[in-house]
Amino acid sequence: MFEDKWLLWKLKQGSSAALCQIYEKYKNTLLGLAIALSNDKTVAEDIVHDVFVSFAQSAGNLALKGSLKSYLSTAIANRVRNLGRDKIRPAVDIETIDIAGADSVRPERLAMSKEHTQRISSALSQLSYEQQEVITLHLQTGLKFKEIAKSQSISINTIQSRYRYGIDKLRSILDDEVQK
Amino acid sequence: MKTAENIEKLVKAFFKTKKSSAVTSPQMDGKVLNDALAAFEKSKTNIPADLQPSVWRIIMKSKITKLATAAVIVFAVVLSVSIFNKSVPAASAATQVLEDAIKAVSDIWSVHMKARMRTLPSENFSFIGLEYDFVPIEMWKRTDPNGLVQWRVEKPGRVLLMDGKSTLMLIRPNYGVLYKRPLPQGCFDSWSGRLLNVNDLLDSELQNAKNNPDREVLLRHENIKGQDKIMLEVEVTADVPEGDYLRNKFITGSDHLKVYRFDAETKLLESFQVYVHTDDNDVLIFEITDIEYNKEIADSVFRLDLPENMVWYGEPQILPDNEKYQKMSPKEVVQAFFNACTKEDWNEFLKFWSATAVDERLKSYLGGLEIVSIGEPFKSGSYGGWLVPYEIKLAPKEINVRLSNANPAGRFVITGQCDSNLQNCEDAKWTNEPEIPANNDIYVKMSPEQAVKAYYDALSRLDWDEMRKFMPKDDIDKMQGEFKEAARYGIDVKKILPTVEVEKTFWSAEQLAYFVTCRQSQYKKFNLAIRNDNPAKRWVVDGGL
Repeated sequence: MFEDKWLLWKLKQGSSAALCQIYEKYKNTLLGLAIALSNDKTVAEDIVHDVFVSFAQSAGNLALKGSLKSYLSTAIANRVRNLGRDKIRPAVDIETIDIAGADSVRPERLAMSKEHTQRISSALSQLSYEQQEVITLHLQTGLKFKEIAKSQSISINTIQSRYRYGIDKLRSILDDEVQK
Repeated sequence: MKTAENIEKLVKAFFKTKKSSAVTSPQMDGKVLNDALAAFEKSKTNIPADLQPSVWRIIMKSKITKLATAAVIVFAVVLSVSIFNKSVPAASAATQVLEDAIKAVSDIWSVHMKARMRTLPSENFSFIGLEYDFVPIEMWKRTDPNGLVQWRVEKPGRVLLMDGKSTLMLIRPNYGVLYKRPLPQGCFDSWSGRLLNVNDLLDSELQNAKNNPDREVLLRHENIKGQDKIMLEVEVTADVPEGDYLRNKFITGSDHLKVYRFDAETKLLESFQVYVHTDDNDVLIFEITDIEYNKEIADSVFRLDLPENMVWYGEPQILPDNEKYQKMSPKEVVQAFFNACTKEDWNEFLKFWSATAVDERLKSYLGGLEIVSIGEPFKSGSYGGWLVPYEIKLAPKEINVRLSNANPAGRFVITGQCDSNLQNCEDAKWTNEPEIPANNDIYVKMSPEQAVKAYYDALSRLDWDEMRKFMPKDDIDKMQGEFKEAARYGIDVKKILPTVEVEKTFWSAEQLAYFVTCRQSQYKKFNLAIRNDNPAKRWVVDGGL
């Protein structure tokens, strides 16, 4: 937290190095978030690009309500939202994303992992964008509800309700699938 | 059946898998940095150099650097703020902003503010709690052409009204304090009411800025929807030390940051926020969400219809045996006060209670209690009275627990709790159907009485998962949070849990539900606030019941 404030202060003093440090620090987190929300790596890369350029442009006038991480994450989420539902892929095309991790070592586990991932991905895509957004910001990016609420200027109750309803809906979808 | 926790774990694992593939390529890094740096260089001409004071704040708020600030302080206090295109010390710039703002409000004849504060709906206007939800507060003030000033401050459980002649505080539903003279804003601890006096509020900040040039202030410009705003941030140190009982219970008892926003053109105050600093983060504790100036306010705002059964609080009168009560020590006062409750001697009770009568609800709550212990009195902060720790066992109350098994799980769950006449009921809000656990059969076989017993058994063990089988998750989550908070204050929650004896089950044809009658005894452990700075110089209970 202190490091971020310091970087931000240096940035406001005109330090290009600070801008590079901020990018290095958050680039993968933000790309991950953009992919999760847009379901499209190419679109996600463009969004991260646009958010950073815009961030650099407005660095001098920046007034953060919360942390730098929540500011950048919200900027990503807002950009994805502005794309419109028609440009957000309805579900992840599993082949477009490389699945890595321990589960991919053995072929049969990779297959299970892909099937598993696809089910969750498909379930997520059935949520409203707002529900997807809060679940992703909370569970993937690790933002607290309070931070999400603050950065989006929405009450924490609304954010928590969206999250709760989203999780309930996921549970219902995934349970239905198990029963089929 | 997956639980919400399982779903969260699954989704987290899913994101983790996806995240590992989210790595930027060298090409992407090159393009982003190239474009971002170009944009950054281009924007540099617009960067204001007014940010040094924020570094001062960062330094002071960082636990890491607090130990080594001596040298830094020398550096930080000479930093200046650039505003209005000239470099002036931050405090001087602040005084200029404040002087402009005071000038702007000099011809204001009405103010209407909407605000919110983390407090309890019926508590006094100054009490805060970092974990509490926001409670709405609305305030009005007007000055008529003849100079008659009227104002009103309102929150759900209290109204404070000064109609030009008298000042009245109504504690809903039927308690009141009346002074037959106009009192100033801020009376009855109505901290937020002082905000209505925008002129005085700003003037007080102005005097502080002038008298304390080294005070930690930050001025900056912010562009909001294309309009230039001036933000004034003032750090305030708590007037009670860390670890004090009253720390963070009132705004003045907390280290806090006040953020004023002025319109750069009109110079009018547009918003105001207060953040309390804690070890972990800054908590927004109060904020004005809307301010209107010079708008007509309906006359009805400055009138208040009171219920017929009002109980009035007032200054204690000198009693024939006043000396006896005057001589009591704080500990003796608390003992005598609770003894009166035990004996249900309400005349004696009123010797320590500065009201015209004892409300039936209070009688029912305190009557017949047993004293468990009375601790050593202590002082706290600038509070003029004493705080006396106590533990009491309240007299058993009959409650009727309402249950229903008309749910997909087919087991009895608690849907509410009513008084002995089944009149006043508090509903348990089931927003989702009860979950169906793997061992649901065990619960399906339970009678209403067994279900209530099982719930209270689980409560006595603080077995939250088991309690969720009988009560809505949200209610249990909330209770769990409150218990955690109580534990933070050193309260052994298990010791003060109600003890419940289950008596009988009956069917209510009127409510179409099963009820289980229980007798509930509850312990209470808290600090009674007493003070004797009144004309009768005898002790009265001031809070903490």
